[in-house]
Formats: sequence, C-alpha cells, structure tokens
Amino acid sequence: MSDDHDSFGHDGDERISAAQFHAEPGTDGWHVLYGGAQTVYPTDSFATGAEFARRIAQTAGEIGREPDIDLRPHSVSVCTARNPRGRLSRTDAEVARRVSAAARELGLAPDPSRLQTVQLGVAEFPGVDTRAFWAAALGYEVVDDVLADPLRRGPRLWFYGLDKPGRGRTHVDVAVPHAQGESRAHAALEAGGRLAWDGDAPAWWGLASPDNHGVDIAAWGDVHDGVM
Amino acid sequence: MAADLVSAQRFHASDGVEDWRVLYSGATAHWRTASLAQGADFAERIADAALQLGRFPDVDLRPRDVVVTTRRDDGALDAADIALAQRISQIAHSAGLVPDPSMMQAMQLAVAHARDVDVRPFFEAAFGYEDFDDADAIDPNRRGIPLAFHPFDRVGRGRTHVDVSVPAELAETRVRAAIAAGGRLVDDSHAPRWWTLASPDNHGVDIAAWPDTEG
Repeated sequence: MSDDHDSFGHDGDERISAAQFHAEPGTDGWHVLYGGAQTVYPTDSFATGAEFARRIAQTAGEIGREPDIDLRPHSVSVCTARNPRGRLSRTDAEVARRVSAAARELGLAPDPSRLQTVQLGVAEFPGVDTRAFWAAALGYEVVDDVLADPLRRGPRLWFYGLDKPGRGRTHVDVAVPHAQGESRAHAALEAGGRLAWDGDAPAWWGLASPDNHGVDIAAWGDVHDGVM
Repeated sequence: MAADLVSAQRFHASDGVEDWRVLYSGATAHWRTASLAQGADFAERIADAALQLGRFPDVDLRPRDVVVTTRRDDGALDAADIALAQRISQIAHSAGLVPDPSMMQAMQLAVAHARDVDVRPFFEAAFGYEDFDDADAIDPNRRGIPLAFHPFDRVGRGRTHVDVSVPAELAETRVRAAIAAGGRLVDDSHAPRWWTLASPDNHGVDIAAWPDTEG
C-alpha cells in the first residue's frame, strides 16, 4: 500500500497505537487484538442482537465507517478495523464510542473474558517464500506483512523466518485482552502445558502443549504504544 | 445417521437452496450488499424467520458482505436448517441481494497428537475454547478457527495441518491455484473428495469438497 510509511491512513485519518486507543474516552471494554479494536456483547436473544446490529449500522454509517459485526444467537462481536492488518485511527475510537453508546441503550455490556483472536505463525526456512502458496490455498490476500481473509473471518497468517529446523516452528498465536494474559497462560499450564519461554512475560508467553505444539499467549498488542 | 438428520446430498436436493453450500461449519451462504445498513436490515428479517422456525444461524456482517451459517447445536443438519435456508434465500432474493459462493469457506486446524496423550484440555485452556463433539473444540462465540484433534500412530506425516472446506464445485480450482503457487500435490487418491497439499516448505493443507457433497 502506498501509505505504508506515513502516519496517516488512506482516509487521511491519523493512525494511533493500541495505547492511544485505550486513552481515548469511551473505549472501555474494547481491546486491540489481531485485526483491530474489538469487543463482544452477550445478548439474551438473536432478535436483540439483530436490533443491536441495526443500530450499529446506523450510528457508524453517520460517520462513514462500517465495522464488522458477528451476530450469534447469544452474542454480538464488533470489530472496528476495516484494514485486516488491524491499523487503528481516531475514527476507530469514535466507532467504538458510538457502538458502546448503542449497547448501553439496549442494556448490553461487553464481556472481554470471552474475547480472543487467533493467528497462525508460519515458520519459513531462509530463502523460501511460501506466501503465494498460502494465499492461493486459503483464498487469502496479502495485507502488508500478513495474509488475511478478505472477509476477516479466518485467522491471519503471519510469516517468520527460522534459521534451523526444530523449535521456532509454525505455531498458533492467541491474542487476549492485556489483563487476561497471565490467567490464560496459567490456565493452559494447569491443563498440561509446558512453559517454553517466559522471557518476554507479561508481553507474551511461549507455551507447549503436552506433546509439544507451540502456542503463544499474546497480551502485548492490546496495550502496545507503537503505531502499526 | 439418525432419521431426522439430513445429509449434504439431501440438503442440496431440496428446492430453493441453490445459494447454499455445506461446509465444515454447516450450511453456508454469502451475499453481497450495498452497505452495512442493508446487511443489518437483512439480519433483522433473518431474525424474524429464525424465531418462527426455532433455528438461529450465525450471521457475519461486513461492510459489503453477509455470510450466514446454519446448523444444529451438534453441527449436523436437519429439516429446520433446510426451512431456514429456503426462507433466508427468499428474503435475500426479494431484497435483490446477489449470492457469491466463491466467497465461502470454512477452516479448521487439525491438531495431530500422539494416541496416548489428551491435548484437548490444554488447547481449550489456551484458546478459551469449549468442547464440541467428542474430538473438536470451538470458540464459544464461533469466531475463531475450530480445532479438530486427531491421533496418529507415528511421528512424521499426518501431523498438524490446516483443513479448508470450500464449495464442492470450487475445490479443484482452489487445488490448481495452490499448486500453481508453488504447492506440491501430496495425495490425490481421495479426489474429488479431498486433496492433500504441501506448501513449498512442506506444511500440510487439505482442500476438502466432501462436506458439500456427503455427510
């Protein structure tokens, strides 16, 4: 994208970091995970969720930004970022504010304990570029340094080089709200996991399953002060 | 299969479900919309139909797309899914929405594990997922990629891989595209039910058509 190296998005809106997003008023209950600022509202019925979706479309439409909405029988998840890479601007905070206001009108409150997003970290040997294959096999598109589902439904793919076979191989990253990183990592350890790397805690924990599959619990993205 | 369950084949034999495909996730359809507001209006009419039929689908609203998935809580299909699919298609057609099966797919992560190791509690704890069926795990909000656990007897191939379920008529095209992009055809002995591919780096990806034709 042509705007990769400036600090403004293609809509001319200033990009902000996760930390700046949280500092914006009215963003309580929202979290910055892979793919952007999002939250989930439990609902008492599908009909309530549909009514909520209608109000979100209306209020977000007024400022020309349309979030993603996952309407389920007993929950509604909302993600503000239109860019699958998850870049945020002040407009995302404004969308979050408007969605939160619509939720309050319906008596809905977010439940971030049920919120997470998953990404696959695909390991590559030096000199091998496997992106074209993954894009073709999954029907994904290249968005800067990740591959993403054009409908933002499937997990993102992030690629990283490894120097030698063995550890550091393809694994799954789970992004959670910052305050939940440690409890999530502990729960996984109690369920038979092994702590493979805690040198970067509480930013992220590298875990291994009982038979050595890599799963990282990432809490840093939610409070990161860098602008993506 | 219990008498009241419906196979993919029987689902497709019903009238008025031409927009729908059966993927891992259930019976799925996609329509393009002019705006999120149009999609939300569609969702409200879907909600009315769902209430009448007692079957509540998942609806993914995007600025220019709507994806609808219906299934029983156990993942199977029955007559209520057919009735809901028919009704939702009627609503979509009356609103002038255009379906696009090429935008539909469902993925799962097939986690290989040694036969004597139960790794599901770990993955559920790490992902915040819950039990689904006797061998799978899902996001309680049905947003994240489902996990399917499969035991294997020896180290080597048959390891953890990604499964992609696509509309049956698009599977071969998807396979050819992946091979043209540097993939390797590892096993086509099950084609056209599914193909096993390997990335240029030897990661496993299966392209599956069978959920849409059998089940």
